[in-house]
Amino acid sequence: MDGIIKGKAWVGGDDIFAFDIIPQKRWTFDGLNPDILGKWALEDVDPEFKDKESAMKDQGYSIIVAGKSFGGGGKTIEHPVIALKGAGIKVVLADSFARYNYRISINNALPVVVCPGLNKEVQKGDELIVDLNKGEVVNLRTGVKKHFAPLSEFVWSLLKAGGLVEYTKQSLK
Amino acid sequence: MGQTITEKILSKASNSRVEPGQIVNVKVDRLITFDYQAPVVFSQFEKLGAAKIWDMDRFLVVQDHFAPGHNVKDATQLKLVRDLANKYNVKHFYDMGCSGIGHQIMVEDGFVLPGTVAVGTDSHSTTYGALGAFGTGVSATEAAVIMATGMIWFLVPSSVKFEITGKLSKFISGKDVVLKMMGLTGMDGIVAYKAVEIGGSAIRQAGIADRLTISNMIAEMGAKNGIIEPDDQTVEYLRGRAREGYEMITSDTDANYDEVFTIDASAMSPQVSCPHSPDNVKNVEEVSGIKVDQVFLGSCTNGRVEDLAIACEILKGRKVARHVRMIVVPASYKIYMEALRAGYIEILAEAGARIESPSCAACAGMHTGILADGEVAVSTTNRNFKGRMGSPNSDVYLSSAATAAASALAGKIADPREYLV
Repeated sequence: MDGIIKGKAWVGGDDIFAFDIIPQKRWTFDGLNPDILGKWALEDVDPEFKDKESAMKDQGYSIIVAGKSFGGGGKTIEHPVIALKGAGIKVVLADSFARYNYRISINNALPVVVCPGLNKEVQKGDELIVDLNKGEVVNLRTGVKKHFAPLSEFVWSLLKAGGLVEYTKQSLK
Repeated sequence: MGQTITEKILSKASNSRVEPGQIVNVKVDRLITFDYQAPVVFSQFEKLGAAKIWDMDRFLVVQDHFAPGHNVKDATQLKLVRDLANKYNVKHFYDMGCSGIGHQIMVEDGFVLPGTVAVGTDSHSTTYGALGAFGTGVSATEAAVIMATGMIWFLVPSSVKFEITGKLSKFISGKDVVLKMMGLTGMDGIVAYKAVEIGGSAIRQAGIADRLTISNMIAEMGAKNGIIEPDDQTVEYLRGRAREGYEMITSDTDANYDEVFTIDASAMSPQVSCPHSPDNVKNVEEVSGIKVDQVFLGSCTNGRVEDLAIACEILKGRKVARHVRMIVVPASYKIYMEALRAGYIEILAEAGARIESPSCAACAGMHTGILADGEVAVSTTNRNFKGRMGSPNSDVYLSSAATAAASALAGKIADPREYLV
């Protein structure tokens, strides 16, 4: 985790719910397996992904840009974030995040960035560079640059450890 | 600058003076997990390599969502959780026969205390705010970390305040107040990720049951917690229940709020949340007359003895409409027994309601009252998303217990003011 992520962006709108990120019929209750859940990420949001195993991953997306309240619906379940990680997503930028999605992403070492208005500046498939150190995102197609608040020290320590589980393991030693 | 009750509790639990926006590690006083999450919680806990669960007096496992098993998949999960609870010798394991909905058990068995941090792996853990605790939901992984360390991180939220003026009545309950609030804030709307503090004359007058209903549904607003300052009623409720001493933490008079909203409870109509979102709220007059197939009275939102009592006041000596299936599920065995002794179970059964044993039942569409295609339900629960209680082609209207009982009687959505004196 050097804090610089370059990749292809998938772009969504407002109010993409937890249920939309991973449909309930795809949940597994006995564990959180990114390889299994990742096959169906966002299948109910993007018709191109519907019923197509690993569509998001195969199409090479690694960045999500969305509108307000990403990952809402009041779910404490971790399946949506694990599904995104399994689908190859390295960072999510949105106007705002639902609380559980924000926490669970950080806990799973998936950086989440509040960057209002970015989804109006990016089209699906654009190449972006996200610099978490500088707090800057650049759209390589248009040259448009936007800034965001850099991550807090605590969030960095979780990301560097590889998430809350690894961080806690190290602290228990 | 003073601090809000939420900031004060997080300050105490993190041993520092916190400011909104800060991330702090806090000491957790109580943790609860449920049948539907427990297997993931334990498997995450096992990954951490901790020597033991941090404090058995502070940890609960409750079988409420799937219990009693209605198919082999659910029964297998319940068995798995039972085996895990036995393996780890979980002291506060609530299984069939002594159980009920976890949130209700947390409160009525004295686990939640003013000034403490009480969390659970279910979003309606905001319920605990009704007793002046910081109550919120955590994920399974976070619960595992708490089991190992007794600590978890929180982003200190900024606070908004709701002043509920006027008075509650038989017709206007805590449910009507919180639905009115929901219509104002929207789901995951203007109070998302914030602390919501609820006060004012109507809240001081409101009993603990109404307060629990309000804090419970703060979850739908996307807020972090929904807290009510403790008072004499809180102390009275906790007498004989509280498992340890507690501190009455309240907000400073010069605390900072992002916004203050005022709602006059005396000037309100009963509220109904319409399909398919809790924030699609209307006055009951606007939706009365819609034909109803099922009425569900129960859940962590409105399955308390006060809810059964008001339903009895409406249904005593009468019969629910012939085409309506009314299902009543007390939120816990304690409530069930209290209702039994008070004669409520008999009144409801004679009115033609079907009484089921304590569980989450139909609320999340898992069992005990699932809806078929094209059916309409009035439900005292907290969510009415498409398909929540069964078929995606069914409609769920959320209301108070009084509105639900009146609707059962009328066979259509009805204004309880026409059935109560």
